Amino acid sequence: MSTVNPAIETSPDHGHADDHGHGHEHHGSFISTYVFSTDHKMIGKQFLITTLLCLFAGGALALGVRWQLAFRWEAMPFFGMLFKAEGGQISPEFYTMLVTMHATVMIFLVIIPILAGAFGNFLIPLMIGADDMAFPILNMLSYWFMWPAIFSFGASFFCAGYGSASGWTTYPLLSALPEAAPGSGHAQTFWLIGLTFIGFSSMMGSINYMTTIINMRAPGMTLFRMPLTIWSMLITAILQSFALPVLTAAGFMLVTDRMLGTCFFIPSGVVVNDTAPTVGGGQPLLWQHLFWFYSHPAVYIMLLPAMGMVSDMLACMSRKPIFGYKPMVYSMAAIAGLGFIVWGHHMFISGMNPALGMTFMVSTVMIALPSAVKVFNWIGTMWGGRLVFNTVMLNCIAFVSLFIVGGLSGIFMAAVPVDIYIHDTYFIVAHFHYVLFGATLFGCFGAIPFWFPKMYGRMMSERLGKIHFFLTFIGFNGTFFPMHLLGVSGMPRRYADPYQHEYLSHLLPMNKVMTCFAILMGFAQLILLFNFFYSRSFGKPSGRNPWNANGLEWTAPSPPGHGNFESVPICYRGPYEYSDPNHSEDFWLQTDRPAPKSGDTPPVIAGH
Amino acid sequence: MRSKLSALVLVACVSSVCGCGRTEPRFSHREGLSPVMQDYVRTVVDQKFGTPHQIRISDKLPLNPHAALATVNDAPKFDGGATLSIEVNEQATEVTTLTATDVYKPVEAMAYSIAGGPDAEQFKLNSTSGALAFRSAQVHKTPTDSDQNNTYGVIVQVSDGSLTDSQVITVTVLEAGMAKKEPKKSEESKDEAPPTKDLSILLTETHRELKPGQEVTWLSGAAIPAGSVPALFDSYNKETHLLSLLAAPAKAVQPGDKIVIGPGEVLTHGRLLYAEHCQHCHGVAGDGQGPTAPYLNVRPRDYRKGLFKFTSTKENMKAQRGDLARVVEDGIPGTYMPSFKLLKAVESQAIIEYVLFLSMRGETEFKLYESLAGDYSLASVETRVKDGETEAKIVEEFVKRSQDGEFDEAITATSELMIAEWVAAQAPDAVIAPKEKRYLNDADSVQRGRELFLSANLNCVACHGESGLGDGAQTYSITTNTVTKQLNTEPGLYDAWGNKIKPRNLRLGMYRGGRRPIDIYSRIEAGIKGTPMSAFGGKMTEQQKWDLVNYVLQMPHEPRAAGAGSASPTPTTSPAPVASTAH
Amino acid sequence: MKRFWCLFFMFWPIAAFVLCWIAPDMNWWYPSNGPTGMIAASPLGKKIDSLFYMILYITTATFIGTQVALGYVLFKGAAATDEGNTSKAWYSHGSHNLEVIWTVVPACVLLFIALYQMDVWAEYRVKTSFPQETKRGAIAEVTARQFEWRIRYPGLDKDGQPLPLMPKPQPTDLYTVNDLHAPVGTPVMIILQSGVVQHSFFLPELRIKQDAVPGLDIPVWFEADKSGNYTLLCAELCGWGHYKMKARMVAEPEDQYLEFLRNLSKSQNYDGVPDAATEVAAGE
Repeated sequence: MSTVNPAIETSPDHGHADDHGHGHEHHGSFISTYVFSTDHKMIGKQFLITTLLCLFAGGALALGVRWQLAFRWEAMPFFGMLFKAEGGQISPEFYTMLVTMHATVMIFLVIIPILAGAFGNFLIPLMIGADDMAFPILNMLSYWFMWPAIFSFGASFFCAGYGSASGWTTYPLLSALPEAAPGSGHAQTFWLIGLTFIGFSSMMGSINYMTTIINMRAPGMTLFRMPLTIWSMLITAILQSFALPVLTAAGFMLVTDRMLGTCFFIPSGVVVNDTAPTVGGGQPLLWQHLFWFYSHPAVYIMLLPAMGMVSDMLACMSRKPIFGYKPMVYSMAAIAGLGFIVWGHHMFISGMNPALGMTFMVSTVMIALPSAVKVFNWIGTMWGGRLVFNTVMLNCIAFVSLFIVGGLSGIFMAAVPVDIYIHDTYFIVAHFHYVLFGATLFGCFGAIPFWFPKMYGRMMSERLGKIHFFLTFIGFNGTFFPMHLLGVSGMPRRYADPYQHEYLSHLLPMNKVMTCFAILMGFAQLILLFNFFYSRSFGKPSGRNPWNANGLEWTAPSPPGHGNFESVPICYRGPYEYSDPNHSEDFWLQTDRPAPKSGDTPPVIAGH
Repeated sequence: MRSKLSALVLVACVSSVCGCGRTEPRFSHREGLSPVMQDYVRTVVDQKFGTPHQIRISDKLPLNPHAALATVNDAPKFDGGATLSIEVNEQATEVTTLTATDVYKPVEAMAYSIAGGPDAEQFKLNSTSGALAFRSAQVHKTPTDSDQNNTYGVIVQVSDGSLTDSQVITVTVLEAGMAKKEPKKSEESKDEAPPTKDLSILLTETHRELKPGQEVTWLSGAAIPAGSVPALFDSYNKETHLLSLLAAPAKAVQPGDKIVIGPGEVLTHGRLLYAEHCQHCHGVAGDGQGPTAPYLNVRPRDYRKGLFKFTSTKENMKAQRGDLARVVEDGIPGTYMPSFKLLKAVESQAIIEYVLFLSMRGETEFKLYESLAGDYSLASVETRVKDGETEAKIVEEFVKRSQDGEFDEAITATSELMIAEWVAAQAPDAVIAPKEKRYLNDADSVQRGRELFLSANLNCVACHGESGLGDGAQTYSITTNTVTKQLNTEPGLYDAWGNKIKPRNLRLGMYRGGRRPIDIYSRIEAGIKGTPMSAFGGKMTEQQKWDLVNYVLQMPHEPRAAGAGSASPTPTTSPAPVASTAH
Repeated sequence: MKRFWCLFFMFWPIAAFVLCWIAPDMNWWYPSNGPTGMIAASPLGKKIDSLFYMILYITTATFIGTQVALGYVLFKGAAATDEGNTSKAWYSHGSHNLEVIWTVVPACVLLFIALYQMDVWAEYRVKTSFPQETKRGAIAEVTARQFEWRIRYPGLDKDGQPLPLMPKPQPTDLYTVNDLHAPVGTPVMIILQSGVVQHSFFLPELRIKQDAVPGLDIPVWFEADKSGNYTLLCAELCGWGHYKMKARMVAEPEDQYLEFLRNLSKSQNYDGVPDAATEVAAGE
């Protein structure tokens, strides 16, 4: 793998992100380079490191949840000290806070920003051959708008009730009435403010991605020569920009319900905590419609970019063209399109018109189809390839393998009658962890070492990467696969103490085992963190194209300087021309000028 | 944020490494006393009751946390010692009436029998009265005893059910006309028996099943010195009243020793259940200050006042166990106290015993604090320092007084009084019993009830408002505090715990203390303890009480015009005078 | 090492499959505490279970198929890089025919799954498809509140028969908390309400679940096959005490059910005078 195309060999600038070189000298101050940078690569890295750290916060919260499920009402020495839980117990409202904030941090501060923010930012201009995003300042703002969100979510930890505790879905009236739950006071307001900021951040990113992808492609980079990563980013951006305003509006409505007494979601005649709040006249189901109108597409926002990246990595590590490029694109588009009309499957048992249940069931079941097509195509991509079993590939195979489970368990949830029983049980917890962790995060765990050389000019440690993968994979399956069984056993989610119910009491030992796996998995992430920061400074220098991949980004220096490319790259073919029998190498860069049809002079690559 | 995050990571790491250690409970330190005095109060209370985690058992607690309470039995003793010589006239059948003494068993419980002797066949013995007689009258001339010397030997035995005593009786048949001598008693010998595993006991109270392995604790006597390994229960024979221990105690057991079998098992069980179900609201020490408590509008009960609001007992009496059981079972509607209906009977019983324990422990602590506050509260200390004393002196004085036991008497008296109150409340006659059945709930009765509700005599409207919406004038007036008897600083009504409370809105159809007529009756009769709702029972006749109950129960169903607000509905019929309907 | 990874990726689906296979025996399957064991305790529940199993079989087949295919390509791909094997990877951009097949076949299966479910859903939720017996009206109004189930039954008439349940509380109504009684063997309907926040009425043994939404009166019907105690709990996050909403649904024969209502009426009208021979009917 270490052979590098001699045509683009260059002296690597190891680990100096500020080395711009190559005729694009641009000396900025420390602040403008590292902090308020408008360079898409720096913003991407900022996003990546921020989200990795948030991943740890979210993981710690999850371990708190697992602790309670395994050792209920046992004193948790340090959590107890931190949060003044009397007798060291995790009190029930603290448990609901843990559940809520775990989901919040993982979804809004990890999954969405790591895909769109980190990889979207870093990869889009590089992969389409642009020198930067269309709106660099907007891009910078999209990162810096994440910080108010982090602070808001963080601040809600320090409010009475320590954090919003109405679930990440914040269903009113639990979230609308400060009296309804300990965390529904200022903590909930902060939470909503944080959500709004995250929304702004995503929206600015989306506009940028769409504009950049549509307008700034390199010469020759037609739409159907774009890598699937770019396609997925484009579709994600479209999804986000159409769905997000609804959530933002809903969030504002909820804030006004809370602060101004507008009662969009509050019906008449409720008495909570011995306080009759308001005049009412609203409808709690309205929130669910608005919320899921965004949040269901958001599920695909949290998945599609990973699908795109995995497609790229699988093709590269199989040394094979992607199997069915256009069906891949169409199925992503289909997922996005259908994604807008399936939100009601979160509300099958909410009491909405049952006829809606039927229509949403059909659309939901059908959304499994494009996902299935993608799975078949990924397997087809690996079929007959020369597979390279490195960290990147292992994580991608895990992605495919686990996504199959996540997709199949989704069919159970989509079938309304079956959903009656398994709705809001651990079955759904298993399902979305298989999709969001099993698929998306494993995709990211593959993408980090894959594009790490491009980010820092160094390779990440293979050995550590494999150990990390091994432990994470084992821990993941040990933690989440049994949750399917818990779901079938009827164990409701978000229960601080399910074992008080007789029919669940025998599940305690199983939960203890799951918690052990979860702890294993949690600690395995330290390896990733160490590997990341260690390799950043001490990794093996990588050169421009360590993977012998085809994409435009691999023709740029590692790390690319300001403006990315030495000269405007010209794209001659699609990104997946691996192992072309008519080409000497088993990869064929998109910028490699094709051999002239006649004549015997070898091509000379301009600019070198 | 980052430091928070790293703290969380650290937490996750360390806690999973450390395992699940139990931390000590956080006690709410009473403000207003200096640390020395706080420590003293705590030591006293801990000595008396133990901590919520380490419960100290005493038979003085009216709660029955233990399996059984027993007294070590003594053996019956024949009056007259081990041997007795009696002379009887010939031709007489009656010999004597045996008597035995037994400290812990009544005379009636004694069973007499003939255990043997050379001439046992000649005698008959009434097993209950102890009357010993010859089967047939004896003649001096023709002795029938075994050695034919007119001296009949018999061994009798007395049993109290488990322990026995025997006596050798020698009866000499005299010729007619000879003077009888007084029965000759033998010297009583007393030798101490070595400690044994088996002891005869008198079970005074049995609360639950006796199981092997339960601790047996000596409340008095020297058999098990304090601090040594407790004796363990093995078995108990109901027929013979013999209790077997797994091992003999260190020293001989004295009759009359009070023992407890299975100490604190229920409380231990209760503590675990309390930690699982109750603690996060009611707090480790039962102070109603658990982590969830600050967010609850109707605050969780603070047990340490010994007050429970919804009771079936008379005015100024403490709660019965049954009252707590009702609350545990049905919850308190309109508050965050949920129903724990599906707890097993033993579980809710254990929780209730533990709550009672916490309540008594807390009340003792509370009272003790109050008695010390006069001289030693922070405020008084400050005043005294102003008056020229030094703080060190005051502390020294306090320590001296406490070491001299100056407070002991007060402490004992306080806790005895409290325990007596609890015991009294458990008696059947503590319950409110209406003298008459509920009156028919017809329109007339409701109308009369309404008149009473509005009457100046009862003045319900002062708090509940004319429409019963709980918006009476008192809710926005400066009221008198029920505890301090002084005016509150802020308008509104306050309960004994200092929380601002609202009079019940009687139109919601929500009755916190229960919706049975007897529940409403009890609220009217005895008030709601710890709140400004006082007892009105003395001001009304039975019929009036039931009329008022009927009215209160009818109120949620009265049609009210939209927009009527709190205006009182106009009576549709002219009210009948109250006096004419009263009995 | 590469073959280790191939085996590794094959190991976990097998482990998962085995885990699911033994799950019913290990009691990690449907709740088994109820009177009917692991079998659903209601006719509707049985239908739901059969649909569940249908999907389970289809998905299991798909799962095995795809994992086997994955395993095959992994082993093949690993062998392709063995020493001495210098041939390039298969240069293929896909197969139109394959794409059509693996689009159309799953589409048909999925559509079949979706359409096959409709009837059961309609039976459960569409009011016109409710069983005839529920047309007599609801037997009780269940109000979920933080954190318990308050149940309102209609009172009894002079003959000891239940009155119809009125939408508004009546003086004659009877109340229990966390204790829902219903006649066994016949479909019964309840009206589900919520006091403040959203809750969800969940009878796991009967496979019944329905959210209780503030401001909505939702009719829910269920039918218990066998007498006995069933679990009733909340399945929608409703605050810190979510897990505390522990209640029971007691299915009992009609006469016992009426007896229960009569006893309830008696105890609810208890006036503290023990000899309650003559009942004072509240609110005449």
